[in-house]
Amino acid sequence: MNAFLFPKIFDCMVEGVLVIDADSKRILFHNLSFGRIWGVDEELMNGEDNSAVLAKLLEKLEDPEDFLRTFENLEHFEDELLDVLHLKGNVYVERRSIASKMGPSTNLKVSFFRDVTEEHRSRKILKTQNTLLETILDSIPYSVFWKNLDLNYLGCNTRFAKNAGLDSADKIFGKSDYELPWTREESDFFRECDLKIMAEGKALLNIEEPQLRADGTQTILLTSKVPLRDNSNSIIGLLGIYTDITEFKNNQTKIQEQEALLVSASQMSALGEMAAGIAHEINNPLSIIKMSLAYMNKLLKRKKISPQDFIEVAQEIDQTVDRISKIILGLRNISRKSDLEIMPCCYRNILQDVMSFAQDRFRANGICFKEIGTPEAWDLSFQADRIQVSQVLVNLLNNSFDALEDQLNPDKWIEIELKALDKFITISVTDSGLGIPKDVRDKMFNPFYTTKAIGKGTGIGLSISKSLIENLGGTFKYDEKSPNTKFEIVFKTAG
Amino acid sequence: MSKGNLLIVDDEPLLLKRLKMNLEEYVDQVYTAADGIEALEILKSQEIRCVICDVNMPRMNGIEVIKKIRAEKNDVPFIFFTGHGNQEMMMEVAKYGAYDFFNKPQFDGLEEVISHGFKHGFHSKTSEQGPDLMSDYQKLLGDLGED
Repeated sequence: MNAFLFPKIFDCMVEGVLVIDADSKRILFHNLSFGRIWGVDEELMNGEDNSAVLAKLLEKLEDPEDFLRTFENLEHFEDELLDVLHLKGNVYVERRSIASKMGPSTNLKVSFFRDVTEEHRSRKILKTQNTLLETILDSIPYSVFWKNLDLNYLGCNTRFAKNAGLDSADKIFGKSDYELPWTREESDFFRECDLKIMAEGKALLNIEEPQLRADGTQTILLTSKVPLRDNSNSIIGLLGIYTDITEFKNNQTKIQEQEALLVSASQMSALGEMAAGIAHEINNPLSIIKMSLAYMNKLLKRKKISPQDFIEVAQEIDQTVDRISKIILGLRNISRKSDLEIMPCCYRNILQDVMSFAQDRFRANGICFKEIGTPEAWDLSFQADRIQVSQVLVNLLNNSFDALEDQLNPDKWIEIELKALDKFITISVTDSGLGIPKDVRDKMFNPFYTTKAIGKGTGIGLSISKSLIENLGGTFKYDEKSPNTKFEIVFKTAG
Repeated sequence: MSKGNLLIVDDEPLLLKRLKMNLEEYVDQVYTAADGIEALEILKSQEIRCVICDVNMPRMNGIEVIKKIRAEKNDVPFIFFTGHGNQEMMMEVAKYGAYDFFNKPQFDGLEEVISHGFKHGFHSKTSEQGPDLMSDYQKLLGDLGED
């Protein structure tokens, strides 16, 4: 082969080539690309002054030591070294060097150079972007993680790493849930959700799940997970994000407990408001029994009692005792503190509970009580808690009673009406009052707002009634269109 | 017991019936009324020596009855029934000179109180001036004030 051909071939290479005699530090060979990459004049390279060329090369380097280090590190035959040189003007050059021989005595250092400035720049940009992403991930107030198809963690943010008891986020790589502090059951559940997401390719949002942390705290998480896809849209893993809602949940429980207390307080207060009425209800039948017994006693003493008299008085007493029993049963049905018991209930029973001890009180105070509704409607059942609905009605009747008591209009009435329309049952309580003024109406559903005299109302009746009915899936509202004071409770019928 | 007519006012028909049966042997005649309005009619048309009256009643309550009857210068003794101890209400009827109170369902001594009421009623009917409870009360307060 033509010996001139070799340099020509090397000049066609994109890579720069430099061959140096390691002992004499003489440049034995270079190609065109070398001068181009290093930015050294070709004429100088081809000149005889080897030391001038070397000086020029060293001058090009940000750190001249870099150039010579190669010779120290390549001691043995076929030793290889790969490094990157930083040239002035922000040029980066990759150097691949190898120790070679020419004959038995000449040690050669052969280096191949490649301009990697562009790669270096994009790597730097990528690195900056990665740092930015990491900063973002660590700044958002959520724990973030991602897993591959095998459900092993690929990455996470610092917050997650801390939850998992890891020093830094990169330590998560390759770990499975079973290697992290959560319990076996928790891990099983996490992975079950993961599998579901990847199988269905759909996100799972707002999962409430427990998590035992590295520091021993048991937390409740609100987690959302989405499948991760590559460019061809195939699922390659999943991304998860969660926030700690333990405190929120605890507060919610506290609020529920307080609401329950408030409900029972309102029951007690509603009963308190009725206490006077109930005493009246019971004392009257007791008086009848007393008087009937006194009468029988009198007849017995005078030996004037006939079997007919006896039967009559005994029947009277019997009926009166029944009357008291009914009052007490109604009272018990309404005051009984129980958990929510939703079952089909019918209006007739509810009305019986309520009226058993409200009826005489109305009559005694000159309030006419009317029930409107067909017998069929009365027997219709709807899904609700009988006791709670009764409590709401007692509350409304109490309000009506208090309002009418102060009214001068001699025509006082309270009306309970039942309407069944389509799939809805409407129970309305209307009284002869002329409606509630707008300013009161705006505030009356607020807890502790009352227009009643001090000691008479607690101001929580309506707000509790509203929340009880809404909890039962019904609606509770004031009818603004009615010329009289009217409240409506609407339920869906059963079935 | 001095004889005369008794009026019982209560909205409980059965109680009215039994009270009447138990008390009629002590008096000339027992009248009954189911509410204040009926009671006023009887008080105007009949000569009543003593009234037993419930407080809570439809149409017109016991307080209204004694108010109206006192306005007509009728000093007939009123014995009030109360279903429950209501201080305010007792003070109110005391202003109009209620004679006594009974808490339902305790009726012990009712006959005796009625008998006293009858004497009182008889006295108030025969005496020109009649007992003025309010002035007696004020006199008592005055006496106390002098100490």
